[in-house]
Amino acid sequence: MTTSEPGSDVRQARRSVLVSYGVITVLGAAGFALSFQYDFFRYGDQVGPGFLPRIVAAIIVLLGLALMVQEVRVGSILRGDSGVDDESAEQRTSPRKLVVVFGLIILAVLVTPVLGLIPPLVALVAALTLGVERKPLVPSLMLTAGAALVAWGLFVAVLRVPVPMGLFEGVLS
Amino acid sequence: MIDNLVMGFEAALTLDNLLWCFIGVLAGTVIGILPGLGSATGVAILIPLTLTLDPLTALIMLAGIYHGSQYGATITAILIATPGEASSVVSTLDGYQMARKGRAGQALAISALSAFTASIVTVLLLFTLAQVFADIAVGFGPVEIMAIMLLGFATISMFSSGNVLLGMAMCAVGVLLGTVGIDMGTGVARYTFGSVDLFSGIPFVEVMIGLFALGEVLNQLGQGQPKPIRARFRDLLLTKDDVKRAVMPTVRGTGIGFGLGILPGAGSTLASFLAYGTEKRFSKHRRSMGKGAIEGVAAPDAATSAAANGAFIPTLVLGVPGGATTAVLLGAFLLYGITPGPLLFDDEPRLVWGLLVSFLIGHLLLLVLNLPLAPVFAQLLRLPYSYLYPLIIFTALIGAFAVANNTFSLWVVVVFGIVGFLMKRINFPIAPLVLGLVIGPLFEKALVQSSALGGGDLASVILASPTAVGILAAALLLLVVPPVYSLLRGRSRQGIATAEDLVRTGGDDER
Repeated sequence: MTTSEPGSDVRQARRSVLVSYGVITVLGAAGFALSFQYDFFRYGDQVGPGFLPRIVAAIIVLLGLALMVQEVRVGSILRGDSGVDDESAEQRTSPRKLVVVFGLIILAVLVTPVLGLIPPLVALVAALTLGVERKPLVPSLMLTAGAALVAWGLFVAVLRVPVPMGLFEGVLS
Repeated sequence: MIDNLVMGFEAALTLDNLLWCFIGVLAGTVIGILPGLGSATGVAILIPLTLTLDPLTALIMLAGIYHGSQYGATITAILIATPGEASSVVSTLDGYQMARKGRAGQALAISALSAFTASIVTVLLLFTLAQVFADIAVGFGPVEIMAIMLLGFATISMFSSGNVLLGMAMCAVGVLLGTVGIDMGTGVARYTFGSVDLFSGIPFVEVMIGLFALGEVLNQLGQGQPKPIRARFRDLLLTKDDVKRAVMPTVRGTGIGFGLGILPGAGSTLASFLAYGTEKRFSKHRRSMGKGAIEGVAAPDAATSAAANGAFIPTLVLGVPGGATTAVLLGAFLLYGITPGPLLFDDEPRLVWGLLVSFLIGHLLLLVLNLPLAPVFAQLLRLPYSYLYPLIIFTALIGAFAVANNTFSLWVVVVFGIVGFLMKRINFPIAPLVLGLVIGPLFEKALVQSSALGGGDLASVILASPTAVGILAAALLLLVVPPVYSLLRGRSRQGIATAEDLVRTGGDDER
């Protein structure tokens, strides 16, 4: 562990963490406020539907405030558990790609009620490999076709998952 | 007992049963590999296909799916940090790190070996101690179950990676999210905001897919795509040191898993978390936990496997499912006209012992399938990420849909994908959130039942149970002792900001 002089990155990191703790606190406060719609006790003094939400929400608020105080005073140690390693941090970031990929996912989910489940998701694979990643046409199409076939075979043919077909309802079923 | 075993082997070792056992474990492995299609979903979906089979054959196949999916779920947890089941969440912590370091083969092999060892040991325990364990477990009421779950929450402090308060906060957020939906006791809709989709609660499988699969993809894209993982065949073989290091974690994981598995409701998820927490606390290599330690793979996978077997004790003997999948299996029993309970061993000995023997066969088949195929699975990592991540997104979304056949599931994945991405960016621990969400509703059920038992006087009910008091004391000690111990030794690092730690907390990976 190095102990180099914290710079702007560190300040930005601390700000992000502080804001996140604030979000946790606000979430807890909202949960606490809304929990008053539900009975804390029922049948006299037995645990009611509002008991656990109110207690837990109050705990979240207290912990959130404690974390904020801790962060303001001394900073906190966060190592996470996401499985993301140091190596990846050395890679160049690509926020534009992130936005595009996320936008395409949203678009695919949005059109699912209209086009069914599998066609938009297959189109998503094609858009990501060909459009975003600029991969060669043949392997991209093979990957897309493979995904479509496996999805269809496994989920529709074998598992009989009632996959929505949207506009293709009459054609494909 | 010998007579029963002979009867079991005779029943299980027919050509039909062996074939369906193989189909079950193979299908289970594939189901486990697919994010979102966990064992409970897989068993539920395939029950209709077994209706024409003999009940024993059908149950052998369904149990094969259950066990196979545990293996499969770990494969994706290790290779692409996408656990197929809640119980495999922990495997991502060290398993994925091992894969990133080019040790995917070892991670998969040690996972299969530890799970197999735990399975064989616990099946033998099932044979010999089923009745004894059932007698102990039958004494556990909601108070003791509630205490065990609180112990589970306390162990979360071990996962908070340096900040106990944050781990507790994330767990509490998970529990709060778990209260969304119709309250089973009163029928009151909580935090649903009029949305019918939320009446049955926030679906945790979809949440997991969002947090882990989509969140990880977005995170990797945000950081720049990682290089494909190098996994040469010669790198895939286990060394003597690997095996040596995995022995004790497997033993500990097996004990923890079986102990928790026989408790109704505790399930394999809690077992895997507790086993990992135990290693993190007691292992000789605890400092390397979370960075690709073999102990972090062996212990939780052994615990998951042991708990999966242990869960059959309450299911078969008490008719009370040990977890979600055994609950589905319980439904299958009823569908075939068999009522699990204390009399099942007397009324249906061929079925019970045949089923238990089939566990041995199933695990053997799984080992034979998984060990040779580990290098093959590891080769998936050679695929450039630019080809892999579209497939992950595709599988995650379609798998999420298959859970409830509802497009709402897709939105849950998207929303929690963003949450997972943000949490990864600022290094918030995700595991406590997931555990809180999964265990929260079970905890509330036990809480309500305990309260009803005491006529509202919860404290007196708890104090009346020495077991519950003991477990709660252990939970308290778990939370209090480590920080106090550190403080006394003057080595408390909590709250001390080092430059490196702070750099790791934000979006400053962009350099």
